[in-house]
This record gives sequence, structure tokens and C-alpha cells, in this order.
Amino acid sequence: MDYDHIKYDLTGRIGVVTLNRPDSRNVMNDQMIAELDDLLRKVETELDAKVLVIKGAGECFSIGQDLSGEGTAAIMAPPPGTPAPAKEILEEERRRSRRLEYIFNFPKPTIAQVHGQCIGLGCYLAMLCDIVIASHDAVFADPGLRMGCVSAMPLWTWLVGVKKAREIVYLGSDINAVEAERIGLINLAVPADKLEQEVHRYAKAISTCPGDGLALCKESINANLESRGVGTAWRFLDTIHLINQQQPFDPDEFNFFKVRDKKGLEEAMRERDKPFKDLGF
Amino acid sequence: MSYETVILEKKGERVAHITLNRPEKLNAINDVMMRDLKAALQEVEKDTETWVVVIKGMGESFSTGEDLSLKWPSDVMTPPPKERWFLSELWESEMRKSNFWQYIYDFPRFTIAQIHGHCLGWGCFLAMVCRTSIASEDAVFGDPSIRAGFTSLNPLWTWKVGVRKARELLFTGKYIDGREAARLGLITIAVPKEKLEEEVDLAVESLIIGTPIGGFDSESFDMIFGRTAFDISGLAAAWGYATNVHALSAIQRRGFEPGEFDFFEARERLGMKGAIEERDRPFKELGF
Repeated sequence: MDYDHIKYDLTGRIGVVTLNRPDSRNVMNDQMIAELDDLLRKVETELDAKVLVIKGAGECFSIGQDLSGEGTAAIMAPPPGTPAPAKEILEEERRRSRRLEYIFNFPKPTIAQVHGQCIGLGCYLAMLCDIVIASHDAVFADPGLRMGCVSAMPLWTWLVGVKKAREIVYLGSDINAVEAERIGLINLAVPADKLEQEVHRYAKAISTCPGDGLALCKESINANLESRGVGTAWRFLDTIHLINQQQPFDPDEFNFFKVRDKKGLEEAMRERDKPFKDLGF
Repeated sequence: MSYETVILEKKGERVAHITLNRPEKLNAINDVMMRDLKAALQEVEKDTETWVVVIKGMGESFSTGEDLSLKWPSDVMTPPPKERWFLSELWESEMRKSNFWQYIYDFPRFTIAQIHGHCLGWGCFLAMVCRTSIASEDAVFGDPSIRAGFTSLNPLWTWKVGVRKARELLFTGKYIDGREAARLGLITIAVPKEKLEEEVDLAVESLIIGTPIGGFDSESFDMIFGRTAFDISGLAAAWGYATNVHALSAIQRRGFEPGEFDFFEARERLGMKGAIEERDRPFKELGF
């Protein structure tokens, strides 16, 4: 299987997907997500892989979606306030959330192996995995709201509870691995030099279990969330996003997209994060 | 009344103790114990003077869970792959199990599980369906069902320990100690082994002292309300779904893949103990 932005290896019964854009810290664009989608659909029916590990090449897991505005039409809505037909935006939102739900309900156990930054869509990808094991240097965050974009991840409340979820999405600040373990965002934080080994230990143990049982076990656990309304939460987010997209910025609000187009991405990011940094977040 | 596999004793006016009594089998639960436990609870239910029930295990363990030496037809053990079964028979058996656990979960008095030693599989279920679970710190918890290809028929895992940890525990079948079980919310508290009985007595006492403030009737309202609140947030559907999926995992008609562990085949070959050892060996080697 040949891909540009990801890599797939099968070792024994363990499939390993590597996000493979190390030069740009595995930033995600339409192509990477399409490749991931394509790969998962192939691995789904491939009997050899009983468990799937997802990790990032280079210095981190992923810094999330590409905010440059290039090549991300499928994974990011146009900036808030951009005139666009509601029907189109809603359809796009549905496609986006279905893609994430597909990973969440993938009929084989998935393990995210996280090191370094794990931000935005990268963080979502880790959250969709059944088990997350991170090295102590890992950093999680969902900073969308700093740009006026509502978080696209309903699982926050399920994983870390309502209070923490609010704090995380309101502030968009970094969560270190130890804190992430404490609040239930991840399963385990381990020293960086033990990460690979620990993930392998879990993957190996899980792949020892009968495959049919694993699929059903996952189905049973996910059904628990379904009966508590997680499906409705995804649907609800689609419309929230639609509203979010149609709402223009107030003149005195920080408009990330305008600053980006005028001064470039790096400067826009700096301006976005500065007031929060000043407050110690 | 006396039972074959449990002992029911009244301790004082308000408290009943039910002791799982197959110490030579580490209180493994068989069909008789399922029936006895339910019958003993029904007997307690009729006695309106009893407000608190303590469930505990005789001998060195609380319970190692399902008696894996049983053969189909049995409510505890599912049919082996390729065994001929009838859907009605299998389904009724699944429903009996689900109703059995929900009966204890809904039991209209205070239930306290007093846990020491092993508390595996259905032992964990018992700990989860009791209102309060108190364990010694060195007790061993876990549900290794998946190692033999089964899912858990109890939806409470995700409710008690959250979705992340439920997956970790149920996908690997790993064992954890009482301290970790308390930290995750699988049980209420863990105490040093020598303090266990004392702590349970204390819990019993405080329930008895506290209850008359509103009378037991008001406690019942609280219990009904609690159950309804959980049902509204989806637990009722979750019981049903977990039963379905468990039935599915029980009837893997295609059998197992080469290299996958087949408990039933291993049990024929090595006996129950040997089969359990073989089941757990690869996991033990990986440190689980």
C-alpha cells in the first residue's frame, strides 16, 4: 500500500500506521485524512491485523490540521462568516464527523502511541483510539476556540467529565501527559524511552485474544456510549458547527483568518496564543 | 432456609450476611450458586426488618467468577464453538444471567460486597452490582473473558471505570489490585486486609444508624430514583445490548482461527486448571 503522507507496516498481528510528514510535524490535510480513511477501510477487512497502532514519525504525533488554508477544504470548514450555502456546509460537517466516528467504531482495537505535540485534529485522532499511551513529553490541546471555531469533538465530556472538558475547550491550553492520565484523557503516561516497548506490550497482549471476541467486546463498550447518547452528540455538533460557520466575527474580535491572510500563519498563531500565554495558559 | 452453596445468617436485627460457600473451588459460581444466591436474597427481601445485606466469600477468596469446569447446558458456561445449540435455549440462558445481575443491582436494600483474595469475572460483577464494595488492598480484580474470546455481559464496566479504562481492562483481561480498583471506581474503597471486616462493620453500622432519619421507605425512594436516573441516561438499553453481544460472542460458530486460544479444546486436553494456565501464559509473559 503506497501512500505519501502515511505509512503502514504489519508486524505479526499488529498493524502500525505512521503519520508520516515529519518535516511539518505531521500536520494534517485533506490528503493525509483521505489516505488514513483509505488505509483503515483496507485494514478493516484484512484478517492479519488484529490490533492497530497509530503513531507519528519525527518529533511528535501531530500538530493537527494545517491552518494555512491550503489543501484542507475537506477537513476544515471555511472561516466563520465566509458566505457559503448552509446545505453544503452541513453536508461537509456530516462527512467530517462520520469519518471520525468511523475511526471510533473501527471494528478492531486501536492504540494511539503519542509523543510530543498532539494538538487539534491530532488530539481528536488519539481520543478516537481505544487506548492511548503517551510519553512524558506529550502535550495535548484543542485550541480551536482561540480562533473562534467550536471544538469538533463530543468525546471530551465522555472522557474527562464536564468540568474538565469545559476548561480544556474554553482555554485551549496545553495538557501534559501526567495531567492527561490523571483526568482520564489517556490510559498511561510513560518515560519516552519506554513508549515503544509499552505500546508493543499492550498491542501484543490484545492481539493474542481471539479476533471475533475483540470486535464484539469493542462493540459492546461502544454501545454503552451509544445508549448514553454519543451518536446524538455527534449529530448535534454538526449543526452547532453550521451555526458557528455562518456567524461572522465582531469587528473587535481577534480574526485569526484575517490576520493569517495579512501577516502569515506564524504571526497569526503568535497573536492567537499571546493573550493566553500572558495569563499563564 | 439452608442452601447448598451459600450460607445465609442474620446478624442482629437489621443485618443479613450471605457467604458464598464453595471454598475448595475459591467460590467459583456455578448454576446452583446462581440459584442459591438469588433465593437467599429473595428470602432477605421478604424479611422487611433486614436493611443491610453483606455478601462475602468463605475461605481464601471472594470469588474467582464463573466455574470454568462447567459444561453446556449451563447458565454460567456458554456452549463451545460448533456445539449444536438452540437459539431459544441460548437466549433464555442469556436473559436469566442478565436478569440475575439486574436483580442484585436493583435489590431494594443496602448491599455491601466484602472482598478479599480473588475477585474475577463474575466476582467483579458481584462487586459492581452491590451498592457498596469494600475490598482488601491486596485483593485481585479482573475479567479475563476476552482471553477466551468472550465479551463481558455486564455493561456496568464503562459506567464504573469510564470508557478508557473499561477498554484497557476488557481488551487485555489484565489483573489489578484492590487499591487500583478503588482508584478507578470499580469498588468503593480498599483497606488493609486486617481492617476489612472492621470497615465493613463500620459501613453497616453507619447505614443502620443513618437510615431511621427518613425511615427505610425514603431510602427506597432514593434507590428507585437512582435507578431511574441511570436508566434515562441509557443504562437500561445498555443491559439489553450487552446481553445481545454476549450471546453473539458465545456462539462463535466458525470457531477460532488457528493460533487463537480455544478454551474448550484446551480444557479437553489439559483439564480446567491447565487450560486457565495456558490461557493466561502469553499475557503473564507480557506482564499482564
